[in-house]
Parts: sequence; C-alpha cells; structure tokens
Amino acid sequence: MSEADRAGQCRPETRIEATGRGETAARLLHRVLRDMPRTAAIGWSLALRQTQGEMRGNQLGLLWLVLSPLLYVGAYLALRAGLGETVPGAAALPGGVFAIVGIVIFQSWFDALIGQFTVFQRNAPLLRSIGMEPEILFFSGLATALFATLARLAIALGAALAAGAVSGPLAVLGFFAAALAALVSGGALGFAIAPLGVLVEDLRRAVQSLALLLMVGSGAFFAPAMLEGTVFRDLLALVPPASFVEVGRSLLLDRPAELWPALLAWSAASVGIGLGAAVFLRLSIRILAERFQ
Amino acid sequence: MSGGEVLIEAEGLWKKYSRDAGRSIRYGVADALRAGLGIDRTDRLRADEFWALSSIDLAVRRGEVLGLCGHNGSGKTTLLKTMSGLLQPDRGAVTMRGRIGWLVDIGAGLNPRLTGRENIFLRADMIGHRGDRKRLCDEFEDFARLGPFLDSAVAFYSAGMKARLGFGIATMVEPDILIIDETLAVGDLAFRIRCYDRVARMSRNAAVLFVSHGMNHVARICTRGLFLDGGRILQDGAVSESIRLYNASMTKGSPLDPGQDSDRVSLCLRGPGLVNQGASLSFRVALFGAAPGAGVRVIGRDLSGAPVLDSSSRDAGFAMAPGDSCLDVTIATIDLAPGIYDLSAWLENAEGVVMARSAAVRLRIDGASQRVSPYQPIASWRPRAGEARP
Repeated sequence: MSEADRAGQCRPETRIEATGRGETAARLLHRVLRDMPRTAAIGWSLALRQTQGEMRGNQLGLLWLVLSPLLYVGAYLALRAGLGETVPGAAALPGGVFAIVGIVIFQSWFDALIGQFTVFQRNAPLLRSIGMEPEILFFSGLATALFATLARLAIALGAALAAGAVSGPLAVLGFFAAALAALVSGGALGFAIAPLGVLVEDLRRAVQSLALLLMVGSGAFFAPAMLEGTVFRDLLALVPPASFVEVGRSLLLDRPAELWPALLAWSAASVGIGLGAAVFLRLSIRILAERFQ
Repeated sequence: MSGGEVLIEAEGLWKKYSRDAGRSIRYGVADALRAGLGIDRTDRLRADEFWALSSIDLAVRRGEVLGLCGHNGSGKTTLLKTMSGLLQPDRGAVTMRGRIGWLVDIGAGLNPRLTGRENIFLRADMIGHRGDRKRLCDEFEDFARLGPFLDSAVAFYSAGMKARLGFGIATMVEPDILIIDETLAVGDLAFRIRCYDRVARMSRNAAVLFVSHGMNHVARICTRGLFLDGGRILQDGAVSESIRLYNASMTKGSPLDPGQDSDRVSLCLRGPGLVNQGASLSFRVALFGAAPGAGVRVIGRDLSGAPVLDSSSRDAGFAMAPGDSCLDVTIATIDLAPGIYDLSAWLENAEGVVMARSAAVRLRIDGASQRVSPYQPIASWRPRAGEARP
C-alpha cells in the first residue's frame, strides 16, 4: 500500500450529489476529524514552501516579522512620553514591556485571521483546478502566522526578562499558551469568512479597516482595571482578542488575570466555529471555488 | 465498449451558470450558504442563468478514452469538471471510483518564487507522496528534461518550460481517472510526443476524459466519442461519428464559398465547400495588377493554424502574365484528413516575397478515416508475387 493510500488519498469511491443531499453534518464532521492529521501535515508543508518563496522575494527577510511590533512600540512610547509615564491601569509596570507583550498577542490573533484571507486568495487556482480539502488551507494559514508569531513572542519575552518582570518558567509557558490560543482563535474566525472574502473583496477590506480599532479595543495599551465601573469593562470581554491579550500578559508579567472566563468562552467558540466552517466548506467549497478568479 | 469496471458515472446531471458576473457571485454566496446549512439549492433558473449541462447520463469504464467534442460553449469543459468532482452539479450525481489525475489548467498552483524541484516536492506532499518525492522527482527529470533549470525559480521559466513542469507534476502519479483538457499541445514537438506516449500508457489502466478541438488528437487517442451541443449529449459512441458531427457543426451557417476579394488577390472554390476525402478539388485564383515575374501560392491550414497544404504556381513552371489574370487550379486528389481547413491565395513578387493574401475560404473534407496524420495519401499497396493472402 502506498503512502497516499494509507493517507486516504486513494479514494475508493467519491459521490458528489446536487447540494444539500446525501451528506449529513455529523458524517462530514467525522471525516474532517479523521482527515485532520493529513490535512494538517499538508498545510504545514504548503506553508513552509510558500514562506520559503516569500523570503526569497524580499530583501529584509525575517526582519519583517519583528519590524511591525517594534514600530507599534515606538509609536506607543512616543505617545507615553507625551502623556506621562503612567501605564493606564497598570502603573507599576514598565510601559514599553506592557505594550509590546499586549501587541504581539494581539498580532498573533490578527495575523492568523488575515492570513486565512491571504492563503485562500493565493491558492484559489489550486482549489479550482485540483480540488482539495479546505482545511489544508486553514492549517497552512495558521502555520504561516505561527512562523511570524514565534519571532515576535521571543522579542516580547526578551523585553520582559530584561525588565525583570517575569516570575518563572510557568509564566513563560502560560504566555506562549495564551498567544497560541489567540492564534488558533483568529485563524478559526478567519477560516469561517475568508473563502467568502475571495469572492467579496469588501470582507477583507472591512477586516483590515478594523485592525486599529480592534487593537485599541483589545486592551493592548491598557489594563481592564482602567475601565472599572464603566460599561466598557464588560464590553471588553466581547472583543475577540481582548481576553487572550489580558490573560497572556498577566501570566507573563505576574499580575492577576481578570478575563479567564472570556478566554475559555472564546477558545471553545473558536473550536466550534473552526469545525463548523470546515463542515460548511466541505459542502460548499465547489460552489465558491468555481467563481474564484 | 470495453467490459472494464465503471470508474466514472453521471446520473441525470444538470449544471447551470449565470451570464452576469455580479449575479454569479451573489448566487454563489447564497448557494454556498444554503449548501453549507444543508438546505436544497433552487434548481430553477434565476435571472441571467442558463443550463450549461442538461440531463447527462454517462458511464466511463477503465481502459476507455472518451473524447468530448463540441464547439466553444457546448459544455465540454463543464462536463469534464463536473464529472471529475471540481464542480458541484445542480441536479443529479457523479460517482468516481479511484484516484483522479487532473490535466486541467496545468500551470495553476505553481509558485513562481520556488524552484521547479521545490514545486514538485510541494505537490508530492499535497497528493500524499511525501516519502516518494525523491523518486518522483527523478522520474520527472527523465520525462520533462528541464536540466539545470529544475533548480531555478519558476519565475524565470519560459512558457514552454512552465508547461513541461505543469504537465510533469500533473502526471507524477498514475491515476485511475485521468482528466485532460486541451493540455497535450504544449512545448516543442519532442515533448509533445512524450506527452502523448505518457497519456497513452496511463490510459491503458484508467478511465480517461479528453477534451480537445484538435480532431486529429481526438482520433489519435480516443476509443469512444461524445458530441455535445448546448449542454446536451447528441451522440455517444464511435469516435469517427463524433468527429463528423463536430466538423459539420463547425461549418453550419458559415460561408463555405464566400468568394471574398481583396484588392490584389482572391480565391474561390469551384463547387461546394464540402468535398469527400480522395476527391478532386478545384478553385479559381484571381490576380489584380500583378508585377512581372509574380507567382501565386495556395496555402491550406487546419483550425489550429498549422499549414497542411502548400502549392505554388512556380512549381508548375507557369509564367504569370503581368496585370490582371485568372487561374483555374485543380488538385487531382485531396489527401487531407477529414476536417475543416482554411484555404487562401498568396501573391508573391519575382523574389518570392509575399505581397498580398486573399481572404480565407473554409473547406470541409468529409470521410470516415480516423488516422492520425493530416496528410493521408491513398498509396498503392500490392503484395509481392506469391505472398498474397485471400
């Protein structure tokens, strides 16, 4: 038996019926879960190759991965210099460290979200001409975002260590776990809307336009305590990346985390959204892909 | 029809498209949402929609090479993509048994920044042959012969090299079902021959769906023909009959004897634009204001534009009178393969430089031959004395 046969590539029988007939969500969900090791492995391979190709196409290479958060930190420090030394809601912490830790977690979430749009747009010809499981692209987008995230997380960790704000290895582990959860959550949300975004360009533009608003709203620059007693404190939990930013940063910088329930709820919702999107796309990707340019 | 196992089966297949791009996207999003939620899509036509395929029932067996014939817009590619699972039918169902190989849009998915070798590795990973990729790459090198370019970025490849890479990648692994859409005419002649050989070898143990406007290609590799018009199957069976129907549909309503004149040279057929293979062909060439020493050639081309006939007045030792003249030309036996050809007259000066060309006249040659070459002479075949068999 060849590797492809073992991997389930040799399809003994495939039946495609007019939409809405012949498949149940439960059966498709089972198939999505059964195929996951294979689709994840192919997605990883696709991401590696495409990142390799991208690195050849620019001169600054890996530097791009860290440039963006550093620029944000620069902007924040300039702002802080103008407004004073106090970190809103977290006066005891060095402002630069506080900001960069929050920003890299937010960027994990946002890069994974926007990465889904990129991977679907880029691989539309593959979907159209050879047919493949859409989850491959989900994992590919996620892996590409992970490459960028790891470098940024290392920078944030370095800054926190240098400032003496890290309590121990468990704090580091918690920080990485929260950032990776943010990555998966952003990726799952992106996976649910990106295939439609290939057809309706406005979706991608809308998400990109919201980037700044989401970053400010996620609490990257302030602690929830600052909002205490206002309606915004409750609304913060509804901003998708906010709980990951707050909990991840609190774990690393040894502060009490306030948004644990929101983090757990968003994590569970993201898994549900991701699996739901996978089932949805198994049923509908042909209809969308035939219209991809 | 062979008795091999049925590998592709279409039952009551219908597929619709929208003529309007904006509506197509709106319908697509709505249909995708309905499909994803398990709600039946409407199978009625909405504004600007039309049926690209209607009521298709078809089965293709292992070892069969089914040639899909039809003019542009007849539904060939839609049928090909629907039967290979790339498109979702609006009614009916498709069943496929075995691994599918697509030779459709073969350059799609190549990453221009990666080298040819890296693209091969990536595709091998994608089709589940990660462990075999070194061997597959070696086999690819033997086949595509890209030499040192295999380790260059695809962005620097010529169109022919990209076609080699795409074809080689698409046929890396032998499939049970092979889908080919107009992709055999790629690269130079030597590579095309290798492509044909590879497809012929693969088709022995696969069910093949083949779309081409080159009827010589269809005649060469197909064991069964299917003629489509308006998304419906009008004929399913002998390849020669599919080709005949295709040729007939190509000339339907087109000016067979337009008698068009250009200012300096014109050509018109003497008789109908339909002749039988092996019959004689007569036409008239008119020249206006020809210079002393001028000559005229009649060039015939098939629908792909390849020249298949070239006859010159100079070869006949004919001295053209200067000024206006009219020539009657007869080719005693027209030995071209059945098909559609365009004939035109070329006026040359004394040095052989082409000065003017007439409008093309369409000619259809009818016949039952399915041989591969466009030139099909009726030779004299005689057994040696004493070796004749009854």
